[in-house]
Amino acid sequence: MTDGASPTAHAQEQVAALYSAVRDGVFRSLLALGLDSGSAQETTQDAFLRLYVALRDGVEIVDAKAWVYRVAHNAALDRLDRTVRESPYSAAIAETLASFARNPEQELMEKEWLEGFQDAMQNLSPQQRVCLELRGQGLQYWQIAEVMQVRTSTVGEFLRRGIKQLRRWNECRK
Amino acid sequence: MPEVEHPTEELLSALFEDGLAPAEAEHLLAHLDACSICRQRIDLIEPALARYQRCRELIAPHLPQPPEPWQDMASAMDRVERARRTATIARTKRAVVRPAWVGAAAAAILVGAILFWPQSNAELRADTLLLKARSAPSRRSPLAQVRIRTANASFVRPAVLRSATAEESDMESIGLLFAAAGYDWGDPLSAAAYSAWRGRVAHRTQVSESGGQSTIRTVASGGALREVSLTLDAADLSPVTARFLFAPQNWVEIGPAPDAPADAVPVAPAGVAAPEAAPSPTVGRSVAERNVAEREILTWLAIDQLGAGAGEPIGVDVEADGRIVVTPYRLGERRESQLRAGLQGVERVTVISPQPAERQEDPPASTAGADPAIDASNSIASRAHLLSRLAERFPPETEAGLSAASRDRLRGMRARHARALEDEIDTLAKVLAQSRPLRLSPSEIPPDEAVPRALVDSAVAVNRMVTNLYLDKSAGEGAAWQRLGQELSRLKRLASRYAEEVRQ
Repeated sequence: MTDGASPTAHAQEQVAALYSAVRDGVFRSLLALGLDSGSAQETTQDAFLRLYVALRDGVEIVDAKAWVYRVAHNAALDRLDRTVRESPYSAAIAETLASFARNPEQELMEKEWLEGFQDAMQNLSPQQRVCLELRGQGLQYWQIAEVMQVRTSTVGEFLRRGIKQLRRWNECRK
Repeated sequence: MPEVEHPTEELLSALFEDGLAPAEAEHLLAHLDACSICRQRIDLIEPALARYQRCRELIAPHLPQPPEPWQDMASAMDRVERARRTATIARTKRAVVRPAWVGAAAAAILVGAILFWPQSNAELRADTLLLKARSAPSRRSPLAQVRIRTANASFVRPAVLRSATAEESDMESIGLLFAAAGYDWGDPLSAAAYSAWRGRVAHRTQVSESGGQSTIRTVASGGALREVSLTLDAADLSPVTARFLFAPQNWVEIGPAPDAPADAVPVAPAGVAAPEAAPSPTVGRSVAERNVAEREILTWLAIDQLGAGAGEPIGVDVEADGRIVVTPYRLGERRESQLRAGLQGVERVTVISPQPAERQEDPPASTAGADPAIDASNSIASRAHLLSRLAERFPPETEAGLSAASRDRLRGMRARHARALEDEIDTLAKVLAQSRPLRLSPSEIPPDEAVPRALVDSAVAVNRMVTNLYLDKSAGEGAAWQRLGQELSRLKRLASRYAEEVRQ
């Protein structure tokens, strides 16, 4: 805490710093979950405001980053229940592949990977997608567990199954 | 430093190949969290992870961007702070048994009908009442004597002591308590003594009204005198009783002495017209009364047409001589001008401008609240209060005496707000359901339930729950969330019943 800063000011500082650092990551993880960009942005912003309210109320938060991801993901899951739609990830993969077609020099290998990724993503559960995404963002396993409100071993299991999907496609391509 | 024991390659492979027992997986993942070397090892062991990572990078430029610029979080947090302050004030007010603006009508001399007050705070209401009580000439004979009761004593003394001489030991000891607390023992049952004490201590206030009486309860944050409740007669604002709680638990009650007339015949001070006798319920309403009611409806319509919703703290007092006094406590200049323009066609209406220090800035045409659920529930509570006031001020017998045009105006206003209330309840349910599923269950309302009053109670309960939810997210878990769903269901049913009654 800044010397002499009030609890309010301290909470605001903490949230503002975290907001700058991880809002894009939270946003992207919500896209991975299947939220559209508008909802993902709203949910992300709301999660940071909730964090502020919690800190302001003196709630003890061990890891603010994991907390804000968790709150955002819970809200996103509630939204997903009512808005079934194609994941923005799928559209992004398709667009990336289309851009490959315009650049013949693009690594063939990468194109194949991406095609595999595209197929695999369609078979991944939301939990598996989120686990992979959060790991890709560099969150630690215990943080992923905190976000998803599961045991760390369950995170391992989600990852294992997700990787199996990715691997299965690669094997089919061969 | 002890050498770190890294997991074997077989163990790392097993993590994503065949799986591990939970305890083993926990242990291994904890190690991976702490060991960058093994995190790199696992990427080599499991190439699918590295490929996945590369694909993430490739698609990143094609992922949708946020449709709007990111919110300025500093401003958003400031808005939350402002909303919290408002909510805290509102929560304190809602702890009152009955809101201050309820039930203050029915007075033959001065009808104090405070409308549209749900956003107000009890402090303002209490200050207003006390100011009026101190400045209004008393319409009844001053009490000559008062009875003072404590847990172990009861005696009668002059209402106002002209000397400090204590004649009895009980009186002396109680007088010492008052003196120690800085409360005027010379005239304790007076608005002046109460106001003077309130002005000196840090406190919080509740105001309630019941049975034609207004009670102002002030709880001090410290000192020997912890709490004082002063009850005023809503008709003439003369003090009726006062109850004092001294630390640790000594209470003192002061009220009229047994031989004092319970309802002394009002004596009009010089220059004040004697009040009209209250009409007998069995006798038809006089033309003058009907005229007042019709002008009052027009006054309400003018306030309603400000288009500011139902949340404005605007007082409407109907004086004994039929004059209607409108006090827009917090309107800005522009909106006050609109109000005056709207009232131009209404006879004998006086608009009292707020003190310059109290005047608010006119809000912009559209202001975003800090939380849509709080905004919606505030608006619902405001509208429920308004509908309750309309029911209270214009009961069926009053409505029956109105001209056809006034009846139509009144019904139109009721119907409009009833519809708006139903819409707002639906909106609130939708907003709440965005954060988690909200189950609305069918709710039965007893046929004899006083709907307007029940509507207010339910709306206030929902408002309190939503506010708690906003300020403390844990309040939204489990049973609390279920209770909110139940209360919202009840509110929805009550609003529907009200709308049906208006349509009939």
